Amino acid sequence: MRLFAWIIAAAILAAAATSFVIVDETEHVVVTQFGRPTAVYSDAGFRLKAPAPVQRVSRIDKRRLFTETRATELLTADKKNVIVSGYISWRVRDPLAYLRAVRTREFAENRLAALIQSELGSGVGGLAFASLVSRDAERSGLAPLERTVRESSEKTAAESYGIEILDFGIARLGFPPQNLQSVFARMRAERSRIARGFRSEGEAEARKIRARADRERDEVLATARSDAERVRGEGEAEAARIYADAYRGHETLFRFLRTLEAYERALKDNTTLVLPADSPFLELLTSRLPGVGPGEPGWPQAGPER
Amino acid sequence: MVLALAVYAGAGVYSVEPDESAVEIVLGRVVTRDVLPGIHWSPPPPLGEVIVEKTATSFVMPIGYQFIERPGEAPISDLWLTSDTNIVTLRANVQYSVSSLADFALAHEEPRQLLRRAGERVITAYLAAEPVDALLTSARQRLAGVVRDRMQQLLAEEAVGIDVQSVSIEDLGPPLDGGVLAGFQEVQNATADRERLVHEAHAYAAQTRAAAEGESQVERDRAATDRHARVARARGESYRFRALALEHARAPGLTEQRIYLDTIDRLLATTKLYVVEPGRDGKVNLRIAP
Repeated sequence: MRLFAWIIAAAILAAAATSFVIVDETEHVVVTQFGRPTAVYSDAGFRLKAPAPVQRVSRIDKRRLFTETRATELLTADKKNVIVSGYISWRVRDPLAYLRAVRTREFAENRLAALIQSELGSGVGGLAFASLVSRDAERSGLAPLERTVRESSEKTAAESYGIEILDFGIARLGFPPQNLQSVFARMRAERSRIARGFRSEGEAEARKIRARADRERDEVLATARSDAERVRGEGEAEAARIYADAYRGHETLFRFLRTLEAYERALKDNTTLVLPADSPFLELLTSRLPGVGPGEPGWPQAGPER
Repeated sequence: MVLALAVYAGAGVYSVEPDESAVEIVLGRVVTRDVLPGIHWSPPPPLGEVIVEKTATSFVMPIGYQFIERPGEAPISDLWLTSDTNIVTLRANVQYSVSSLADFALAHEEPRQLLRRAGERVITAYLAAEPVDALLTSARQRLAGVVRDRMQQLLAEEAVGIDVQSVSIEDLGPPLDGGVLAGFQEVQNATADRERLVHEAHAYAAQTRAAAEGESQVERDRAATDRHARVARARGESYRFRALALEHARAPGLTEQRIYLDTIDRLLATTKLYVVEPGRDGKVNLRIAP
């Protein structure tokens, strides 16, 4: 009798221990009665339920969940290989559907990743490589691609698995290792082209500067020379005026002196003169100085003058 | 029974250090989101639970370091694509703190992983929108700030309770392998060469200009000297002439005769003169004995 009472007490205790559920902040709780869901508790707190063998509970993560998509080699529309990896932020929207369709987290992640990967593959396959990377940040293919992938998998995820896809992000984008060498080669070629461009730019610029300097020098010198000639001309003019002033009224004397000077200049030191006896020059030299030779008027007469 | 209750109650006492935060949970429900530092009490398990974690310290999340890539996957490492399909290396450290422990601990499954991948995502998007030359020069300055802001925005949308304090770009440059680095250095040298060439040309121009100025001055000075000399000579000669003319006026014939004879005298003293008989028909027979 006492033993029976103990058994009853233990049974009551066991029933009491399983006749409530504490729903955590981080989870949905699905209560099933003989395998059939009867209630879903999504708000945290204390809930009552029928004891253990009758109603059981399944706990499902309510948090935002994080799944990475493996880095995969994909082909763009213009047949370029790229490696894309990303992550999915998601959560269970419909615990019942989720429980029915995927049961475990691992299975859910596999299905979700497969879904996203296939959308990503077709998304990348529809884009030219150049539109994946682009200067224009708004039109750069990455953000629209992320959006397209998320939007096109949203429906399936929600309907088939009770999953809400919160975000899909492309974390890394790169070339496969076997393509790297050719990319590096292209970069090298581009660098040396740029380097050559800079050098010839420098040379052209330098030539321009030198040419301009040379032209300026020529201009400055030409101006200076013309100034100099003008100054010399002024000198000549003044000299001519001075001579003219001096010689005015003494034309005969001037002509006489100037002629002698010309002879003297013509017959420099050690000049050898070979003249026939009747040479006009000899005559000139000896007697025929125009206007002033012996016998000419003005020439002092032999004989008593003074 | 009383003792058991006392022990249970005592187990509910906990402390929060100044750099920590705590969240109190009772029967699965969050009752206090942000517990201030100090001594507190909350029902211990099984009724309640307390999460205490460091939040005020700044944590560091490395991005782009090769060792964090997972084995078995195609390696992407620290190479990133730019908008002109060049490749750059980049490593960054993200400093962050936990702004809301309740969100950090309860709202998201793996907030740290999310932080890392969000960081990569933002950097990938930024680099994919900039050409390599801008990245290595002008865009470099903006990079850290832009990455921080966009990460913060992404994480706020996810409500993960992380505050991105700053992003430091540790290493942004051309890839080290494949001889690309040398190519970039070559471009740097070429830029320096361009500047040097232009600089030299400017130096030449300055020198040429100065020389031209100098030469012009010399030309002008020489011309002024010439003018002066010319005028001075004219003055001198005309003085002499006037003086002579004065004398000449007094005795014209005599003066002329004296000058004439003086001149002939001087000439014949230095000139070899051969006088030959004129031949017939104006021909001259030249035979000079040695």
